[in-house]
Amino acid sequence: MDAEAHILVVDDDSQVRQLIGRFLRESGYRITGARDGREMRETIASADIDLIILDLMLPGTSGLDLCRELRITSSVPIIMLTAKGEDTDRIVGLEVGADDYLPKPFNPRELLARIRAVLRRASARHPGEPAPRGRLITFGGWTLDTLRREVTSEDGVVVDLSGGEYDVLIAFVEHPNRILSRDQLLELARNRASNAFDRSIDVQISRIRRKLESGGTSSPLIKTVRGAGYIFLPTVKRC
Amino acid sequence: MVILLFGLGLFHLWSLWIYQLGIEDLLGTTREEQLAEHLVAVKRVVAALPDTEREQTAHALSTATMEIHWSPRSLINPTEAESRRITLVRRRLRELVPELADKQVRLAFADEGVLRERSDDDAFHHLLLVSVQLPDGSWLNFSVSTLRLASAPDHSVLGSLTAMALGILLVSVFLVRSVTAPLRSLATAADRIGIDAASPDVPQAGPREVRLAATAFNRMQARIKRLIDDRTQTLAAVSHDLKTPITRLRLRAHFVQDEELRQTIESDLDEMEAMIQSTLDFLRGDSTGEEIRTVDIGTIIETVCDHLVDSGHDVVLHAGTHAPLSCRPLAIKRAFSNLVENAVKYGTRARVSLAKKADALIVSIDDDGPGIPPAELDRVFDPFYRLEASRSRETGGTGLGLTVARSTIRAHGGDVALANRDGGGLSVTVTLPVFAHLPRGGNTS
Repeated sequence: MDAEAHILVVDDDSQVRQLIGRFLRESGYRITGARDGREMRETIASADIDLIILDLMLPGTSGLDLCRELRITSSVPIIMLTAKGEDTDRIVGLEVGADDYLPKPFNPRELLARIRAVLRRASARHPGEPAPRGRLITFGGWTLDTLRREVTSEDGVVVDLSGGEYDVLIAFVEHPNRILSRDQLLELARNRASNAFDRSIDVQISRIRRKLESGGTSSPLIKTVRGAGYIFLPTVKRC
Repeated sequence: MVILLFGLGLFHLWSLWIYQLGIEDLLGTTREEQLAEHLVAVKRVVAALPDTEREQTAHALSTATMEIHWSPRSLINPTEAESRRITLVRRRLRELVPELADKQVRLAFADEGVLRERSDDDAFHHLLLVSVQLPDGSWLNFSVSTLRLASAPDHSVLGSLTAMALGILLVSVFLVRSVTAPLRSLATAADRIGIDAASPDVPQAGPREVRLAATAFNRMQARIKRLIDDRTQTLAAVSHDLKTPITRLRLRAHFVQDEELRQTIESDLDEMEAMIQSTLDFLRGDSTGEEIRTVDIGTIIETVCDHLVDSGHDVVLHAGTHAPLSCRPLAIKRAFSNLVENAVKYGTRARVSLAKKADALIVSIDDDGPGIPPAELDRVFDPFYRLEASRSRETGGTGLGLTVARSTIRAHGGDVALANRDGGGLSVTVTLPVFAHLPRGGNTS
């Protein structure tokens, strides 16, 4: 179904717009370009758009304001692009409702991976159903913040996780108390599209355990099921 | 200041000396008049008496400072050349009592050899002998101790003068201080400008000239700051604007058919990106708007090391230590990333460990490289400074990694120390205080 998706690229740099368009067309997408908010609105009004790639710095209305504006009426997936690359920008971008965020300059393959992941997640939802808004998820004394992509302990100490570790952890958190095979985990983590798939799932899981389980008092989180895969033990609550 | 004190002291001593001279002069004059009157009076009385009563009466007329005796001959032998002192006394006597003609009076000091005794004593020096001839040729001998009165200086005068001088001294020290204190703070501020470009303005206090200097200084400082800011912003803007052409290049590179060429273009782009990122990190400095959070520093170091292991580097981490630290997490992560990357870049393999102390965290990063020549240990932290060996193309880098790492760690109240290990290799020790006071800044969402 990816192949038919219609992507709107909003960037004021015409060359970047054309290059992204050419690159994504090669991957089988339909592409329309827009140079600012006005053109974006016109395109949305006249065509069905499956995903918007939105630059943060635009002449006139900024990408952040456009994103906020879009979210009032639509749940169309949005990937934000920015040259700022600050972590605070990422959080602000996600807070106004973007589905993902990519700092410039980005690797084209990573953009493609994220587009695929975001589209897959969007199609997994029933049509018309809004994206899950529960930002905080708790399990076994830990709190996971889906916007900041971070985990904090009960006394508020942040645990630093790599992108790949976070993706594996969120796959577990979204499917607790179920045996997940390595392939299933890899598939779920790919949906999040972080750039570190190259390490085996086993290595990622051992790193998560080292960071979250060796705290002493906390009980084991992930149990190995011989020959089958892994199971996430704690009770998960979304709030 | 010292010159002023010295001058005041000298002036005080000089005026005391003048004053003392004046007093001695006055006392001397008074004594000479008394002596002259007494000489004349005694001479007249004794001359009117018969010889038998003369010695007894003369002795009876002695005073506390003057001994008088009568004898048929003079106590003093006539001398050809009189000393200068005697000449002066004789001249004074003649002015006061003209009736004492020169021939009738013989004068000498006891130490001038007129007595056949030891004559170098101070007592003799001050003993004036006067012989006055009576009309019948016999002599009246006076011995006068000249300085008894004058040698009693007035201590109260000396005391009050000294007190006054001390008072003046205190007031002038106070005045000098109030003048020089603003100058001193100006000097301190001028010193600080090289270290801290954001140093506060110099207070405009003190006398008018100092206030003017402070104003001029503040204006100059503002101009320098503006100049630095302009340059920093220009450099940051250029670095930032390079991101768009690099994005284009990355997309274009994707369309290059030649696989090998595409990979070299991509690795060049990686290098450019790394240089831009470290330049931006360096320019951003401590002014980063990053939020302060409590983070398990152990997990940050694990992420940094794991990332390098995944990129094929030899990093051994003694993991499992958890330690909460209040910090700016991204900045700290970048700092450790720079340090461990340096270790694998120049020292082939890195061993990283984290130790918890009562009030500080110690992170050690040891490598197996050639180390750093002792003379250069401190210079490697300078911006854009690179060891000769690292200028080759393959190691690359901007020369900002260590600079950024140290300024970040120092901004967190800690420090970075470099040392060459005995067995070879460099040892980097990072100390981070657990309870460092971090200036709040940026957003706290």
